[in-house]
Amino acid sequence: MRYFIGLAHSTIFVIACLFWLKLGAARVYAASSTGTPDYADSVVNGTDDLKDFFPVFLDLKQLLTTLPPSGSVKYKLKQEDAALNFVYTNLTRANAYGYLSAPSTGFGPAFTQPAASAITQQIVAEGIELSADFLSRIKDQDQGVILVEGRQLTDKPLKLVIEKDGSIITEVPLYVLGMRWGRLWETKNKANQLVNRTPKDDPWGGDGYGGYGTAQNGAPLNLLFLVPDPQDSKYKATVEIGIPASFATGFRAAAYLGNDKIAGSDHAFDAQGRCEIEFEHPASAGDIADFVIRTGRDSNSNGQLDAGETDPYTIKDQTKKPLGEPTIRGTKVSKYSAAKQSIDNIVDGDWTSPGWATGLVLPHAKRFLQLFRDGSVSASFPQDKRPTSSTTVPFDAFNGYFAEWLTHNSGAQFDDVGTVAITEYTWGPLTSAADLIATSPQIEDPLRAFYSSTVSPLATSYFVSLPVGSSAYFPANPEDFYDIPHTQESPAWVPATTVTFDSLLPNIIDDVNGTIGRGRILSHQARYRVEKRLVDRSAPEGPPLLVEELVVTEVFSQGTVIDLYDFNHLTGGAGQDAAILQIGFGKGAYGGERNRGKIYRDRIEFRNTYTGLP
Amino acid sequence: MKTFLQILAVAFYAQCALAQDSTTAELNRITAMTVALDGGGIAGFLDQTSSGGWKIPHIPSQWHVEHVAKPEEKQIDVAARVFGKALAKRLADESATMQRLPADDSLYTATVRLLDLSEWCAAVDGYGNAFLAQRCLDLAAVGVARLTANLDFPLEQCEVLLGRMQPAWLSAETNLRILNKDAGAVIFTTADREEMERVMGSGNIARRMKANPTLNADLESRGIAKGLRRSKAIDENLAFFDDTEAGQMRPPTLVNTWDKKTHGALVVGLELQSIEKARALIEFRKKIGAFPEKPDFSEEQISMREKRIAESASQGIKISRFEDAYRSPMAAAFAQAWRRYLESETSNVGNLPRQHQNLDAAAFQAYDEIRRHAFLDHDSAAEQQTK
Repeated sequence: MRYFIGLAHSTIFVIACLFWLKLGAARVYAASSTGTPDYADSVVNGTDDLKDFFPVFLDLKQLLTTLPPSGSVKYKLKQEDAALNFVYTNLTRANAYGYLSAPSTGFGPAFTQPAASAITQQIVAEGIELSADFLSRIKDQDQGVILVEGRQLTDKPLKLVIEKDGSIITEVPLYVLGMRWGRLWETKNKANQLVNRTPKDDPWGGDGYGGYGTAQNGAPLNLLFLVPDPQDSKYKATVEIGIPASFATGFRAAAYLGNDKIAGSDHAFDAQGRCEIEFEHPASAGDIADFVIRTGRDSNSNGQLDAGETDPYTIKDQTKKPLGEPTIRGTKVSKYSAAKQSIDNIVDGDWTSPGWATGLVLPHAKRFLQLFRDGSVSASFPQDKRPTSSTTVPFDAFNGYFAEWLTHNSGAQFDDVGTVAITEYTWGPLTSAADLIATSPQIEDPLRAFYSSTVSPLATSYFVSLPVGSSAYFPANPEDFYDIPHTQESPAWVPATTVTFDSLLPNIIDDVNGTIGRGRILSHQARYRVEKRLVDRSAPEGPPLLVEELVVTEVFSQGTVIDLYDFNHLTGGAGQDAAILQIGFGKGAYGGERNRGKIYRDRIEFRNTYTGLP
Repeated sequence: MKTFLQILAVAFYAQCALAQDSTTAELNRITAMTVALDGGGIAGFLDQTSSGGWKIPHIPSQWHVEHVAKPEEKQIDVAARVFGKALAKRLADESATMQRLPADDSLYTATVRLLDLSEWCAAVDGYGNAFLAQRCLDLAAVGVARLTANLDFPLEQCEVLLGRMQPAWLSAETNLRILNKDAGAVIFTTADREEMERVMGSGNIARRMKANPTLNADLESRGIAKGLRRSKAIDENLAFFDDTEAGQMRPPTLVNTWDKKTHGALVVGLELQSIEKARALIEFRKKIGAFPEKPDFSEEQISMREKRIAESASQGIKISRFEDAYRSPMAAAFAQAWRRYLESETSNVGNLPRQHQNLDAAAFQAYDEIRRHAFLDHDSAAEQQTK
């Protein structure tokens, strides 16, 4: 909103055309499976959307006096690519920016709508005729401001055309330069990028499932999590904007800590509209700091982005709620080292004895963390905790199975489109990890519940006329299984069945929670053996009382739980430390110094036979 | 007095000369062993150890050579390590040879040789000795499993081989001795795996705390500092706990890790999953007598079952077919055969140890991997994963 151009014409004078046009944030939404682009719904989408419009003042008063509109004289707006929308306003040249305060009336075709929800109209190639009411307001009330928003990039001008008897008698081109925020990504790991619209099923964020705000993000969409390249301790990110090549090199990007530009962060865009920015973590910033990325045109050609040359851009969530400017959340080198040490200390700590440290017993959680830290089963990984097999599985960070659980697109050698082969480790039924799952309340409670709700009535009916001592399997074929139902904790769009594993209350950070946390039950089957018995129910000191009862004498339970082992930086504490390592692993491009924090899939095949209901 | 001093001096020089002779002799012996490795492979080498009465030298870690060994010991230590690395490379070659051998007497002979070599390596408590012995054992386990999978090969011979695969040197006691010897200090005092892990972990944490005292607060706040094992030996040997990071040893084969520091492996123990899988396969074959391909159901059973599944579905109850609950028909067949065997042996399977209840899972994994040529020793598997 900084650049004005005046285009003189022999008969008309048009001013106040904003020379650079931001296409709405909604333009970015176009790639999303959720939400409709702002520009496509024919209305202004709220106060924040107004920032995506710019005012154009049509100084036609004099002309309208000499050539008033009539049945044969028409005033039209045309744009060859149909790349623009506009909104009528009652604004004057003097208060052309009044729309930013979102007035409650004066907008739209009848000039009665609020600015934030006014009707927009597309400017098409054949032209849209300006209304008699609007032209009259220009002539009589010194109005004449329209608001324009971009629908797509274009290098074709917006034209004001005056036709008489169907022939053009004059036209004024208004060149608007469209700049669209494209993406911001970690230079060495393009998969780690803004804006990542992949829906996330991540409960972190304070409002339960669904992530931050009401959107399904896992982390705010305007944050790009980075650690510095260990080679030179610099953050390295690439900004991409959509801009005609002939203009691109006039633009620059820089990182800001608050409103202060970080020294050395200022870089020019190339002709392809890309700018690789690099900067060090300023000494004045905290261990973890936010660096806002701003772009703008170097209008005075002094080789840097000056105050007043930047054009802030706001990223919105799927509900169009503004989240803030594109921001790198950086972790400085010393914090990375501290995080590494912190994870080392957890792995080296003893979590096998209750009361030894914090009362937590985390023998498996510690080993799963070790596997994440080391990226492989290392020599110091105890045999009894090792996975029994491993294989590689394809993974797509943006669209694939489990993409909804990966908060940060790092921790693997992703290619530019976000695909990678990751390791899936399997713990078979003989492992202690399988035993941990098999005996967790999340597996055993449903076994009991299913017996009560389903098997017990069937058994009661079955044994009604059978003598004591009879027994039977349920299902009747003793080698088949019931499918044990589990309640899906995630929204319906997440593959079934999400369950949070947790065993000890009130200490929620127990081994099964630390090992799996939220996992996915792929299958859970069971069968029961029931026997009709005489059970002694005599009261103490009372007469003998033998009662016929159905007793469960065996329960066979087996199934598979699967999970993606990764971390969310926003959880803080040890989870944040682990996430920092994951973010540092990136594409593996940081060499030996960033070889920790590799995501993997864990698959636990549990199986247990009980001598009664668990 | 003068005469006495002269006598002492002569004795000292004589001793030095003797020591020099003994060092030279040991170096020559080790060199001869190293050369012998290049000759006739594992078989030829074993023949020479036997005919020459060669005992394996003590092979310390590279870290020991650099931090603990006395100057006069270094020459022999280095030579022993050179020999050890040469043997590690020879074993890598042997792995490929083993994979090519058919599961018959030739594989049996090769497996026996590896078990012999494993015992020879472990005859002296040493860091390198233990890893070499483990490597041999791992390769032998693959041989045993493959022989077991061949129903034409006598099971008794497989059992004999398996009987040699739980040697005493795998014990925590032996590992403790090796660790203390290599550290040059009595750091570990209790031959209990969990306690040894606590000591190793405590030493690592103490090392980091010394390097970065600001960590104390973090350790305190997370409860990690509480209960750390402390001792003079730990405090005086903090460098001992600084094992090479796993990421710097990819793939983590014996050859690649030979010059690195991996004492943590001795702390957690050198037991092998390959042996457990081979053991399960032998037990399965012994009890079942075959490796079933598909679950065993009669036409009548299948017909009845489908009827019941349909009836249950009409009541809103979902029943899974037995074989659908497993990864493959063969996995289901193994599970069914084992379950039927267990039920023939006991009235309530739930009373059996869980490892025994679910043995079919390990047996199936072993058999399936053998069929797919995927039952590999650790190093070969690690190399394959890296490709």
